[in-house]
Amino acid sequence: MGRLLGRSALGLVLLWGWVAPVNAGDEVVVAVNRATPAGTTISRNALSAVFGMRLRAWADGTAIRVYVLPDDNAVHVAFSKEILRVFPHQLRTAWDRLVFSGTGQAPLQVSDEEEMRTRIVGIDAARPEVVASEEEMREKLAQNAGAIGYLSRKMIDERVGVLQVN
Amino acid sequence: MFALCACLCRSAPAFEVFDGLQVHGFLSQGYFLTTNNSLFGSSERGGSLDFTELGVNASWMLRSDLQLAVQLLSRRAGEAAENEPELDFALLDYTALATADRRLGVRVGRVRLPFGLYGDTRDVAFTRPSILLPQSIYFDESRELAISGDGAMFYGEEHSPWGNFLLEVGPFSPRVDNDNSEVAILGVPQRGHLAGRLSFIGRLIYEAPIGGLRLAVTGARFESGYRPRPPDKFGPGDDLFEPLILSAQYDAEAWSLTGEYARRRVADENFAPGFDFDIVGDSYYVQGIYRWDPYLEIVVRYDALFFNEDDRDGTQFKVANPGIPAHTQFAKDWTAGVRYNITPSVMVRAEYHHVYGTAWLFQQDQVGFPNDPFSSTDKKWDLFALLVSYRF
Repeated sequence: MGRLLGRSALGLVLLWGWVAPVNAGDEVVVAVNRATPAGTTISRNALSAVFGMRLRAWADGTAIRVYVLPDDNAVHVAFSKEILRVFPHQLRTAWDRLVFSGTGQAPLQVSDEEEMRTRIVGIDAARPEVVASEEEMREKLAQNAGAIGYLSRKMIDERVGVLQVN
Repeated sequence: MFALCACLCRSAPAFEVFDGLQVHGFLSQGYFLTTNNSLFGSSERGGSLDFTELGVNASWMLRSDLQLAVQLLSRRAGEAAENEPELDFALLDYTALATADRRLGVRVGRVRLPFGLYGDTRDVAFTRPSILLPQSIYFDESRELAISGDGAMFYGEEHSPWGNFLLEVGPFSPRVDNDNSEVAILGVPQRGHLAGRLSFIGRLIYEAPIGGLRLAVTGARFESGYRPRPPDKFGPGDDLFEPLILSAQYDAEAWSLTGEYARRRVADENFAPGFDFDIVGDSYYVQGIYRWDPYLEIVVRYDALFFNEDDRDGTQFKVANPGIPAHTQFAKDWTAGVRYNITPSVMVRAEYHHVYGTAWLFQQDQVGFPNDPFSSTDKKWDLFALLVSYRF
């Protein structure tokens, strides 16, 4: 009986897990430039340090460039609350304290997800350029090596790297 | 004009001039109306617009462990500040160690003093909980003293599963060679001038790992000396200001609860016979903020200041200083206010204060200044204030 109850509870959890994200494409993920030397995973601590603007370089010394959406953007709100586990107003307070006390810098703000992806990828998708070789392509893509931001899953394509948070 | 402003701020919340160089700033304009007494200009009868805060800063990340930052500030605040630009901070920040869990470094130059929960950004309206900061702890009369100093500030941070520990501590020389500090310390500007001496400040913040609990303790010792210029009514006096501040804040999504308590020792000696004193005052406030949505928030606060903890109603003071009202020795302030964020870069605020006592009023704003600033003030007064602010 106990086992049965346990099973149905598990079933409920699984069901809930399936039902809760209304649309899988709305899930927010950590996005990086393909050349960002961050590997494939990032710890929550490190992510907090990066978005808290306390960690300014990746392990190999490449400067970290942090991109964020406006405070009231739904993707920003979801990223703050679900991934960083802080409220957007707390992030803003922390960034303001850095900027207006001379102790740090603010992340770079972009206006929407399209711009976020463009900046992270490092090339301007609205102005396509023809490159001569794969090598030049890699160079172009690497122009914004170090870039990190976040996007909803549906915005992710092969030009964008994704970091798993653990 | 606001539409244009709103447009600009949406597209350019900050300027990145080139890789690593950022420029930010703020501009606030206030309106103050009082039933009696004066705050920031002649605020009775029609009110006063004599309150403007303008600041611009630049920060340049020279390397990932080296940053240069400079902020210029221009304030107009009644008779006490008249738009003279001042160097708010100018510092070089070297981070000796930075990992996901730990950070160690030092800032040198004119550095921001870590003072309570709101001292770091006290002139930026966006970061304040209300138009006026709780004056019991952040009284504007000695703002130059408490906001920045010339020296070094060491910092260390530990981010652990038990929470975050943030420590800042350093030696500095306080900024006292200005009219405001002279009025705060000497009553009226004198022939000679005040000079900062070796002083210390330290602040430890604890942030709980889950939830928005923040606790802080700030301790400081500000020392300055007076250099007379004969013929001078004052001798080479010594001034000491020793505040200890305990702070607590709980920050939820829709509301925040904040309280701070301060004990201050203030002592003067060798200025003039009979001028010596050594008193301990205290102050505290309790403040609640409710955020209706990301745009609208309300604040309610009770804030109390006592210059002398052994004479909270000023009766002993009045006996010793006939002609100066007892209500100059305390201030109890009930505040209610509302904030509306028109965009993330433009906001407006309105607030009402009901105050008993004049302890944090500027002498310079009162009609009797400098000879008899407070005899015409009233114990009970109300204040209505409006503020519009823009930042980038």
